[in-house]
Amino acid sequence: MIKDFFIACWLSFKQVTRSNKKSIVMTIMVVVLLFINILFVASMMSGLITTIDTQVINYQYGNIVIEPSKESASDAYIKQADRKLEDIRSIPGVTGAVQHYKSGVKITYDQKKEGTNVKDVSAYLFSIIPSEESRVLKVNSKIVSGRYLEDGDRNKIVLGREISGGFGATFDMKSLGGVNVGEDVYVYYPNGISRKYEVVGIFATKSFLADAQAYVTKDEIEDISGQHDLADEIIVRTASTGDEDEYISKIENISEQKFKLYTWKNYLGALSTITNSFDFVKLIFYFIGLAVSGASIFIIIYINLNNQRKQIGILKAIGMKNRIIIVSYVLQAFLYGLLGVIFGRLLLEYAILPYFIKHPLELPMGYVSLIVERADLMRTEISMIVVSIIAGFIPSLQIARKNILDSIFK
Amino acid sequence: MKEEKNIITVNNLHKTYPGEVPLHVLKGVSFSVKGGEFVAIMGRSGSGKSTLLHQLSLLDNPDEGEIIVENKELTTLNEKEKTKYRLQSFGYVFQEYALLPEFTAIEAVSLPLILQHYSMTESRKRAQAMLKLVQLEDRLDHFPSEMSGGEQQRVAVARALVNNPKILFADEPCANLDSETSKVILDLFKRLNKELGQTIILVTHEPEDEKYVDRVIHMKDGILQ
Repeated sequence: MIKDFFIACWLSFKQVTRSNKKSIVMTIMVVVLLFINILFVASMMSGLITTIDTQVINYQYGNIVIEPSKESASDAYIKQADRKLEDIRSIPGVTGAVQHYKSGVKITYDQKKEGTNVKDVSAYLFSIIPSEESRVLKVNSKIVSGRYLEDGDRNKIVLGREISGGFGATFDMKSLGGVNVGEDVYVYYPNGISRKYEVVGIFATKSFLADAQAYVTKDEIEDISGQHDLADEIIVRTASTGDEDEYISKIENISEQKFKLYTWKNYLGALSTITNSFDFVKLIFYFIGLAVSGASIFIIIYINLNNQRKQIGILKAIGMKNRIIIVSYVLQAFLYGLLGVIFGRLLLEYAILPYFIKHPLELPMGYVSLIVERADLMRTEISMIVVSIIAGFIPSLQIARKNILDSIFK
Repeated sequence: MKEEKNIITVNNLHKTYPGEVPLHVLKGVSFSVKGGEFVAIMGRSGSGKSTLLHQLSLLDNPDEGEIIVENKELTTLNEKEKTKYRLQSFGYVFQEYALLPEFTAIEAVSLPLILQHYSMTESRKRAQAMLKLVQLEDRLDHFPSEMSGGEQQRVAVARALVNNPKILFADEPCANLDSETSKVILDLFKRLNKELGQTIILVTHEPEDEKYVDRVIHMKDGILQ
């Protein structure tokens, strides 16, 4: 049995090293392309999912959101917010934490300054300390007009593009219709106070939800509400993503006040159905890609074997066992699959991925790069090799079982 | 070198190829060949001589009849046993050389030995000796595409003989060769028969080949004359 296997190896080696090189290169190229085809689609989907996740983390919720329990009137806010922030920031692995006041407000804009065409938008207004905010959320890096807020700014506001309008806003018709930096808007707070703000900056993160928010400084909100050292939420950023639960238990212990703690995943909401859909679509494309790859490799090997039918007949005529013939061709198919996967991976890792990392695709929802997940990579590599082996086995079995005379003479 | 015992005995061999009009090619062929005999099966095209050779050499299965080689009935063997028998007891020379393009002369001749699990060194040594016997010692590492038709056929003869077969079957081995090269091949067969006592069953339609063989079996329309 083992000797037969070595004979099959010897036979394969001779055939591979001495048969038509162009034909072998073409076969391997096809496997490379099929391999990349499967992974490209999967990587694109993973890239989309990662873009959505990253937007949620970078522009809205960080890794962890701490909210007051709101079980009683005294728990309507996070109390002693400054102290709690310091405690949270001291937890190893926490890279930043910021407090927000959060108000549902109405923002109005009178473009012609005549009072006849005043547009309004309902939005969430957040209070921030600008110098601290950038350690947690990255909205400051997405200013498309004007500037970000600065510590000490009063009567200044920064708007997302879904509020201001323009700059490629998704729902431009629901916006204020095109506010420019330097113009004034009015903000109506839930407590009945309204105030005029100068728009100093407009940001566009490409996340529809993040771009429907507005920011003023903490001093501004505290002046309006008369509150101090409170917070509606604390946003926490950790060194890595995916291990938020470990931090949640540590954060729970910093205070006697009851909190509600959420990870960014809890806030995905409707987005999670989109990302789940991408995962499902990715799986469908994966199986379709695999089926197409299997069929393609099968056809190539079948044609190749059919061209060698006479040789197989000769080998049988001189007394070669069917299993040696089958194993030798399965080994060849395995080799083509393996080389295709190796070259495919090299091409992916050293050409395609670096290119798309440097030049991500600009899609309406954001910049999407290819992300090859280790599980997808391993699954595809193993599947391609298994498919190659099966695609080599079936035709070699069929041809090896053929009548010797038919193989040689027909 | 001829033995008194029959090395192969054929009894009432029938073969019909199915189709819209079934073709009854062998219609009860019976004969025997003694060990060390050089026999030619002659007949016109379509007389069934190649079909007979295919049945005798186990390349095809007869519908009816017996093929007995050294008291062993071969038609009842299963495919694995037939494969083993072809490898260990028979040699076959095809009309069209039937060499594998990726194998050099010495590799082609080594192959039957390698299949019998001889070491690579031993296989190569024996193959080299066999190629010397067919006067191709200077062509050991040449591929079929680098050799003439006559040389290729001599490689095929060496491959068929390297296992010391009980019977060498040759199906019109000179059909694609010119008369001079054909003579070289037939002289080689004659020499192998005389010097080594090799039993040879040759299918041919050339009347002048008769002079090389001990006996001629004539076939016409699927029966022996």
